[in-house]
Amino acid sequence: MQSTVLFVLDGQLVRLGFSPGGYPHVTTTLLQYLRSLPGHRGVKEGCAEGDCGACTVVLAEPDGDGGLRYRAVDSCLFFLPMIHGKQVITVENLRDPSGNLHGVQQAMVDEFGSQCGFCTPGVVMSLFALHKTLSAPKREQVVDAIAGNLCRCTGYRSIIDAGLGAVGSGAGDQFHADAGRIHDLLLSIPRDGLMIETGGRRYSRPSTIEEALDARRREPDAVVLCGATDTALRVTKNHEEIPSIIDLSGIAALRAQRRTDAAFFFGAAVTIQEVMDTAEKGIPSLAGMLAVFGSRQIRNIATIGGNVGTASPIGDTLPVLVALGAEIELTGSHGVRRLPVEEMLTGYRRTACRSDELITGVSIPRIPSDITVRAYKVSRRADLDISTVSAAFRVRVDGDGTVDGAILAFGGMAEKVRRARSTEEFLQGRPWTRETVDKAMAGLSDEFRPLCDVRGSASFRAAVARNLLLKFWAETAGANGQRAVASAEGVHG
Amino acid sequence: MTLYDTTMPDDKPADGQPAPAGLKPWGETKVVGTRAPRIDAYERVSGAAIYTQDISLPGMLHAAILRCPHPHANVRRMDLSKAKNMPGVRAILTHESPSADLPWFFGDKGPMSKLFDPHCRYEGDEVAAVAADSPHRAWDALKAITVEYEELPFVSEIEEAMKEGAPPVHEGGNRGRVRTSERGDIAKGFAEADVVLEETYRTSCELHTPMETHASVAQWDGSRLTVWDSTQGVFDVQKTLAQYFGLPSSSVRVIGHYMGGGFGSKLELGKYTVITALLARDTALPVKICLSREETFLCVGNRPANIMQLKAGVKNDGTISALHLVNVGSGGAYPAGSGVGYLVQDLYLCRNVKVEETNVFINAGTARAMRAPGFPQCAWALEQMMDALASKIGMDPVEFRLKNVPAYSQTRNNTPFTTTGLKECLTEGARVFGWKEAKATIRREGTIRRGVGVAAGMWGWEGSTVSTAIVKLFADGSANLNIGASDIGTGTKTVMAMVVAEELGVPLERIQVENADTATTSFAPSSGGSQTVVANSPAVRKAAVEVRTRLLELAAEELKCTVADLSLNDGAIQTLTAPARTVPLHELQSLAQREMLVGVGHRDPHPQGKIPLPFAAQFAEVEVNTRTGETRIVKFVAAHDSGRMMNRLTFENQVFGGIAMGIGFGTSERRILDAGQTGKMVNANWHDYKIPTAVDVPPEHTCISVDPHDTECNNTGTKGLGEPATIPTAAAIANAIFDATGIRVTQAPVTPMQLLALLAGQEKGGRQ
Repeated sequence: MQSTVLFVLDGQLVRLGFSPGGYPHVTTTLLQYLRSLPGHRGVKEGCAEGDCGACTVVLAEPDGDGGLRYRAVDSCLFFLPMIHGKQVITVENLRDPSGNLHGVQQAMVDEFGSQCGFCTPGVVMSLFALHKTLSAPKREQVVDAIAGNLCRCTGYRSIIDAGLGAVGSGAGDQFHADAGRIHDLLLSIPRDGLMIETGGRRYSRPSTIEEALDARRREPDAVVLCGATDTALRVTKNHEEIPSIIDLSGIAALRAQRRTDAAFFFGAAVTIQEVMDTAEKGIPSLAGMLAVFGSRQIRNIATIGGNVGTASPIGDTLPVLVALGAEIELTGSHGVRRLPVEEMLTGYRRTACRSDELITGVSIPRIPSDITVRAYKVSRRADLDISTVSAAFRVRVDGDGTVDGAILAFGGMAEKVRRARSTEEFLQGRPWTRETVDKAMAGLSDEFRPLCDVRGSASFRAAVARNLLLKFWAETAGANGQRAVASAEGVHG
Repeated sequence: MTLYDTTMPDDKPADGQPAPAGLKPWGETKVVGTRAPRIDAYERVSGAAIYTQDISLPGMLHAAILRCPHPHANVRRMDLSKAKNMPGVRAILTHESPSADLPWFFGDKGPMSKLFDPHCRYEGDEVAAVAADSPHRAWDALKAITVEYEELPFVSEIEEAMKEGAPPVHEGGNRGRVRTSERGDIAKGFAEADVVLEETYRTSCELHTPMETHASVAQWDGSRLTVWDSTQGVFDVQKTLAQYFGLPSSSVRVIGHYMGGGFGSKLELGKYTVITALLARDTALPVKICLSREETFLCVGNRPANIMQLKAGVKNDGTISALHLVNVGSGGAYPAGSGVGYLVQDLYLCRNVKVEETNVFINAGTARAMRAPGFPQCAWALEQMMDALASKIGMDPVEFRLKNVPAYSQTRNNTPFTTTGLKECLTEGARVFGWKEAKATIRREGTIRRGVGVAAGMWGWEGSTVSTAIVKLFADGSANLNIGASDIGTGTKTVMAMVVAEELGVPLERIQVENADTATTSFAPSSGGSQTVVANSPAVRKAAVEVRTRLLELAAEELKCTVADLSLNDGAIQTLTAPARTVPLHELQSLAQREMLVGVGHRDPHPQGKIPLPFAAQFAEVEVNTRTGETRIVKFVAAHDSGRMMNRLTFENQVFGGIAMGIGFGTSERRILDAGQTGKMVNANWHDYKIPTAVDVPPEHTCISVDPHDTECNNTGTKGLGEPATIPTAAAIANAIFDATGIRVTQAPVTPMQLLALLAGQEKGGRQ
């Protein structure tokens, strides 16, 4: 275990030590740290909670293939030890050594993509990450890349045009030229665990599951992090001091993905974006839901294990995981056990994970072709929003047109993500027709007593829940009762 | 009378008088009107631009403000002992601090409150402030201050506040006096009407939420005060600060070079700036404050919520015979105004108009001007009403509006407008949008229904004429422009430099702009109210013309010809008569000897007997999902008469940005107060208060400049753009939703929740 965080900034290796009473602290965010340096004030704070993207920076890491992988993240949600082993790139780094603008910056100039300019550094970094990944992105890809960057001035048109206009700008830039050196520099950083103790506060970032379980045994009350998009807010917004943190993001084993004929397996620290990339090729209902999970900057930080562990009643991934029949892998000192997602969720932000266990992965079985699964989310804004109501439905319809196995999972309708068991039973064996669905919709209203809150009233939630079921039926069964092929799955209607 | 005849036979507009003689707007231009990138784009995209939040001075302390967590409370007791002894804490101010015992003014209403008022009338009212050696230590100290509050009954909703026995926000009750204005005879007008409609429209409280939260840095140098402020107007901040501290204006320097958006919320001096300056004086160190995102939702202004009853009478031929608006709004806990009536009085021809407006106090943050204050609200009511009237008399909504385009301002003794481009906005906009085809062919059935809508608007203020610009031409032919105006993101510096380039033939990259510093730049009014280009560009042009005139005189003398024989292009003097010569400015001896030519331009008054105002028409196509209540805007066309388009890029960005803000106002943005239990704002963050993202703006998005070639408004032919861009947007969307569904959504914003409930009601009651 070491106590120094190593990362690359301005092309150089930085060794960051922590001392009691000194600055920075272990829960200092990357944003706060960068803004405390003289050369990185271009990184802006707009909200300090991952809603606006003004603080977007790009992290580069070895891609395992000899190159580097670039991803945009909200630096306000990143505790400093989490950057161990990574290159941090800010807007100040984009100009070449002679001061010439990077291609994405020049495109922003040409299209007038900046008005008051306060969101601009973050926008530039989102576009930079995009163009380091894709050479000629399409409009939807540009929009997706900047959906997490709020701008109150431009109306986004000029920014989208800049994103489209910067074709090829990521290929021959100075980062390309320097990638080999940075790659080696990053690989030279030891992957051992970190243990930082300052002034009575502990931050441990184990490198193996065993170390993590040890840490959990020693400190059962420690906050377990896997992404920190939720926990960071306790520090930045509530000004809390968290006495002890166990951060799972350094465990290589938890970042693994496996694919078998029967299932997809995602390690707990696989990011939502990585899950989405895989899901696009095999689990379309999940991919569709993740596309509106939050901004790309959030998806690049948040993890599948973290989302399950938070067990939010409005967690976006949970209903679809329930409908897909996913299982959660829990690893403890006594071994590994697997629980269906539904059994994992025991209450409002509570799970069946014991204090001597860790969530280590999520297994999602492949769905036979005669089963249809779709996921829906209704919120007040198209993207970067928390669901008012989310739902995922799974149905198998027999050759004679009757339902043989239905799962109706809802988020935002109860204290936790829950299935509509009675309605599922009602559907069993009945013809998959409008008449059946109408009756099922009426039954749904008796199964949930949703809340009224900022996001939606109880009656709205109930109505949406009913209508989503109707929508699912309309999309999967034609007017003549014929089953449609579930090829295109979507989230919006 | 043809469809386009906009004067009524028996109405005589007041006699227009000729504009003052002098500089006429350009005919052809070389620089003005082009797609010129920002002159400061490099700084903005490279992170080099220094905003107030980025200022760091040696020894600088950081301030944070403790705010009342209750909507209505008295501060009974405070215990500062723990906070005072915390490491790094240098100063604490409360209402008991003698230096902070200052009155606080709201407009011309006199001292209605104090800098720290122990009677807190809204959540977010200032209770105490701390200066510490780091932001974290300042926030930690705030947490260590204990305050004993006497919680008082509160009121959060307009209707509740008006009731007998409602908790009074101020002594004397919550209801202000009714302000009435009337012309003609509405009873007669309604009697003459073939159709009379009446509807109540409601809009929600909207928040500015600029990207850079409000911020100031204050530093004292003896009795001189320097303040860096994220503001829309350095001179206004300077003037008010000088009054607060009893200093001559010359001892207060306010600098606001880069600022991250304001939309009206940074038009006035904030308490946080005065507090920061006090803390800096008490500690003899520079102090910085950056408000948190949450604070910007609570206490630096908003667009007030309004309840507007509108009654309208129309004749079958499309003549509007009477309009009666009764508006009740709330600007929050202090007088801030919530009037909306202007559009009803001036956008369309109507002889009989009555407007009655009342402001009501509630226990919530005070309003500030927000992009076209009052206008989007009024457009929400009036433009939906116009749509409904057109439908009742069987007239196309575009034609109905065209029939009522005014050529003169009815609120100002029928004084003629310099130009009224509203007709062209409607016809050009409709043509580009494909209005007639869309109306005829759009799919309004099924679960995904499409519809189209139109709405028009105008802005009602010509802007200030107090502006002075200084242009300096260096001997090498490069130039410096000195203007006091803040560039709030709209491209002010760029547009003003283009005016200089146009007149002096100096390339844009050789023009340096010095702006928004009360110590070093000349006076300009605050950048707001769509006045920035209108107020400043004529002064800049006059300053540049003065330099040009002097330069040509010198050149004529040196080249031994007359001024008429010379032209000034691309940084060189050219002789028009033989022998043809081109003399680059840096080779001109007479300029080299003087080192610099200076021109000073003062803005001329507005034309006498004429009113210069901008107009707009916007068209929307929406798609409504009747199962979920979700609305998607698929296409949008905006046509604007803002006079001359100074720069295609700044024009487009202003319009698209205004539309995006209008989309927020119309579909997602609203302050939600927990009226029943705590009275607190429950969505005071960007997580729960939704402004549009890149996903929410229409994929098909066009804007058109309808330039009526206004030769009278001012010497650059410009009218305002920032406000009109956002005025009709929400109403156009609402009208499109009506076209798609047959449902008139009278409450803004149109959330899926609301629309779904209305759709369900429609299903029960049959389609309207």
